[in-house]
Amino acid sequence: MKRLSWSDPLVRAWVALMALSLAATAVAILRPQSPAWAGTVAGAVILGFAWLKARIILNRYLGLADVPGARRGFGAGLGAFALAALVLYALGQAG
Amino acid sequence: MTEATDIRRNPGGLPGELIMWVLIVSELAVFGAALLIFLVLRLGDPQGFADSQAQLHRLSAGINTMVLVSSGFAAALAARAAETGTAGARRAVRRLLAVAILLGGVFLLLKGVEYADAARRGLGLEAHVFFTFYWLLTLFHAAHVLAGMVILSIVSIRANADAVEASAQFWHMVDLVWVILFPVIYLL
Repeated sequence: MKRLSWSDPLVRAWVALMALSLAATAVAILRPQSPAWAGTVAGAVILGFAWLKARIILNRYLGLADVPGARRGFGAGLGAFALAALVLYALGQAG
Repeated sequence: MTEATDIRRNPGGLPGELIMWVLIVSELAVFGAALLIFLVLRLGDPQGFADSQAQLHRLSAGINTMVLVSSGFAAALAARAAETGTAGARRAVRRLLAVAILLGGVFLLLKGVEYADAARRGLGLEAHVFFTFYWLLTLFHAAHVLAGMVILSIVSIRANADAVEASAQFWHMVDLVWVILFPVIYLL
């Protein structure tokens, strides 16, 4: 079995996923209750982290890093989902 | 030969089993649509949704996310080791799949504790529309985790490269669904 090292893309992907998961949870727990725009900013950061995590899983765990067309397609689809979720969340914050 | 060219590819260039990619897209569409409906319903009662979400254990769910992505890491390493096809590699594949299955078990154990606590506090399916979605989506996901653990267990018996890769793809799909479900249900 290949020895694990920092130069291994799978190791870097796992470390990034761990850091992003921890950061998203910390942002959610520590975000201020007011003003409303602070909640929206926190929501954007949390959804941005989720989009990054999904990209990492697709590119590194599922091997799309070597398939540019599919990588862009999945990235755009997930980006559209994150954007729609953010708009709906921001509308809820404003209401 | 590069690592990339060692991976078996479909005509479209996708690595692994084409049917698994169909499943991944289907699952993302189903969970994504359900989560957007959840956020639309939240517009009608943002305070009720916020109060309901505050009942959940965010830290526990965050830890569970790290458990699941670590399990995915073990499965990805197993799929890579299986490509070499040697007897030594087969032992490593079995060990890595066992780690992935064990971490899947830890995920379900933490979810079980969370479910038991919610049930004890009367936060059932009908407590609020938030909890209707919470239970349905997280239980549906947990069923996928359980199915993935069974698949990984069966595959680890022979540790055949194609089967290991397909089962790892299923496991990564479970990861992928969780990373979009977790922020919407627990964090936003």
